Formats: sequence, structure tokens, C-alpha cells
Amino acid sequence: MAVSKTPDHHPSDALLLDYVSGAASEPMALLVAAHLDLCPKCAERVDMLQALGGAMLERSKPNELETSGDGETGLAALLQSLDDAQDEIPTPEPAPVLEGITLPGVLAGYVAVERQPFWSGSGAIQEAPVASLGEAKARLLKIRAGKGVPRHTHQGLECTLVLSGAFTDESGRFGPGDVAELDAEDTHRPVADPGEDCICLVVSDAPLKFTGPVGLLLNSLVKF
Amino acid sequence: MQATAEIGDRERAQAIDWLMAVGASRDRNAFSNLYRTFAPRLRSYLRGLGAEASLADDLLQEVMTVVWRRAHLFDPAKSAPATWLFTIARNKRIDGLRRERHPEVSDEVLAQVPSEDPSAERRVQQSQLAARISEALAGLPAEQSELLSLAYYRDMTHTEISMALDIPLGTVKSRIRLAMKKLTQTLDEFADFDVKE
Repeated sequence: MAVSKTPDHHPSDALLLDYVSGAASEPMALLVAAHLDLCPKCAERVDMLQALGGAMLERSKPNELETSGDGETGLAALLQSLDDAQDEIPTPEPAPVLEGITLPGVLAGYVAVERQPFWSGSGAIQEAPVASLGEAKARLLKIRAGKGVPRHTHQGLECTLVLSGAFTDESGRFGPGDVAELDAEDTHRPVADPGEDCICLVVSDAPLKFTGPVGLLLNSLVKF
Repeated sequence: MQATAEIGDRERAQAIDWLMAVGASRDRNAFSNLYRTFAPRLRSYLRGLGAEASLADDLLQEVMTVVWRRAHLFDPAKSAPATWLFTIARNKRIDGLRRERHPEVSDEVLAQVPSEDPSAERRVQQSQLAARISEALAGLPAEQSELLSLAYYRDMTHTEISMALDIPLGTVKSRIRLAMKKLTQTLDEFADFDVKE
């Protein structure tokens, strides 16, 4: 999918961190990756955050304690198992094409473009499922030209990535590659541009769960 | 070399040589050296994420197997060895503990898109960048570094961190943004130094 310019609306650094750390749910990580496919600026920030992951790995306190044997048992067993290991050759899947629009390549394997009918519902808003894992859900939304999405509440984070067309909401205009990121207390009423349907990837994250006390472990693993 | 020695510029250069040797000729000595240096740190990372000890060790073996199988794809111009290892361990952890995938943009796509930001055109020595990031990390205030620690080591999203620490979401987001600003300043300073020469 070609974008003529760098997107104007980007995921927050906090969301990029969720992606790089691996904490983000797979549907949310998919949305971030699809934005990165279209945004060189955020791709650089992700490189920085991954380099930070590398630095944290370097600074980790080495843990030599294997669950069995002495320090070299793991290595010896590993070396033996490698005799059969094959070189890995990456085979990227082609980018899916939906209604003449080439979607970001990362959506390959997630969007069943050949499914008939592709869209559910009729009228102003149509939907197609993409991925759901637990309570986190990704779906494609088609907002008909000039139509709006009704106000709705959500728990957790809800993010929208525009794939084609554009919508306008309280924060401005969102075109291809732009991301609208809404926390639990935010709502928005996007209205698609007149003259063109707007296709978006929408991800609603799981409701928050209580994670319990974490105070004691903060500095026990990494030297700062 | 002792695994407990700190990783500095010399160790990073060695790690590049070892990875390239594994990639080029499946050098078992080089691979063993990589294991001795990084396996204890990877173990710390995998156990810190709440993996029970023997599961963490199984994941560690899988991570090192991936290293063996993919070493020929490692490009020192793109990332430092520790960064490359981190991404493998992170993906393996998502797969092993949650049975999920980590969607990633393929390298081919990234290489084709020209960056509007001129900093992308500066030639940055990846391992020197790693050293600067490591220093910048050490210089972050505790209220920022603890958030990074929870993100990378405890598999917590920023909203989960906000709940667990009872800190407003906006505060968590702005501390992460400030930490990122400090780190990107590090990159700018380093690149400026490069240009002046």
C-alpha cells in the first residue's frame, strides 16, 4: 500500500513500548505493525526501543543456575541437538488485496480477503473479523462515505488505523496510515469523508485486570 | 571470558565476530562463546517474565536454536547482537508463554521506504549506539527506568503498569515519552559527533 506522505497521527510511545516489549496483545501488536509498515518515523522509534531491549539484556544480572546439572550441561545438550537443525529461510507472504486496496503486508494470514461475503452488516457501518485472542479483538470497519460511527464505550484501549479513505473526529482528520488511540475514558465519533468509504483496522484491547503488587521486584533484575 | 563480566565495546565486537562465524560456517566454538556470554542473561530475562524455571530453560534452548538457525541472517549494520538476541527471545517468550505471534514488518518492506527524517541517513555504528543507549539508560531517573523495567521484564502494558503502581495513565505515558526523548537525544548527540569528524 503506498502512502504519499508520512502519517500525521502516530501511536504513543507507550503503545510502541507495549509492542516492542511484547506485552501488547497480538491484535494490538498487529495494528502497531501495520502502522510501522506505513510509517518510517515510527519504524525508527521502534528500532530505538528494540536497541533499548538489547541494552537491558546486556545489563541483566547473569543467572547461571540451570534447573539441572552444572553450567555446561545445557550447552552440551544444545550442541548435540543442533546437528539436525536446518538454516532458516524467510518466506514472506504476499500483501493481501481488498477491493483493489493493497493492505499492509503484516495483515497477510490475518485478513481472509477471499471470504464471501467479506463484510457483515449493511448500511453506514460494515465489519469483518480479523483476529481475536481472549478479549482483545481486531476487526476491519468500513464507514460509508459521509457517514459516522455512533458513540460507544469501551474498556481498555481502543485503536483505529486508517487503511483507505479518511475520517474526521474531535482530534482532527485521519487518513491512510494515521492511528487514533483512545484510552478507556475517551470516546470519539468519527465521520468518514464525503465521496469515499473509509476502511479501518480497529482493535479493542482486553479490559484491565488487577495485576497485584509489584513493588518488591522492581530493581532486582536489572542494574540501572 | 566470564559471563559475569560487564558487556562493553570489546564484548560487543566479539559477539559480532561470533555471530558472523556461526552464520558463515556454523562455527561451534563461536556459538559456545555466545552461549556462555548471553545464556545467563537470557535466562534472567526469561525467568523474570514469570516463566517457571524449567520452562524458562526450555525456552532458552529454543532461543539459542533459533540463533543457530538464523545467524546467517544477522546484519551488524542493522542491529547490535544483544538487540537481535532480545527480539528472538521476546518472540519466543510470546510464543512459549502465551501461544501468540509477534507481527513484524518484513525487512524487505522497511528497506524500500525512504525516510523523511534525515537522521535515518546518518551512518550509525550499531554497537556504539548500543553503548550510548546503555549509558543513557543508566542516567534515567528511577521513576522512568522502573516503568521500562516493568514493560520489558514483567510483560506489563502501560495501562497495566498504571493500575499496578496506582499512577495516573497520563503520568505513565508522559514518563515513557520523556525516557524516549532522552534516548533519542542520545542518538542525535552521537550522530552529531559522527558528523563533526
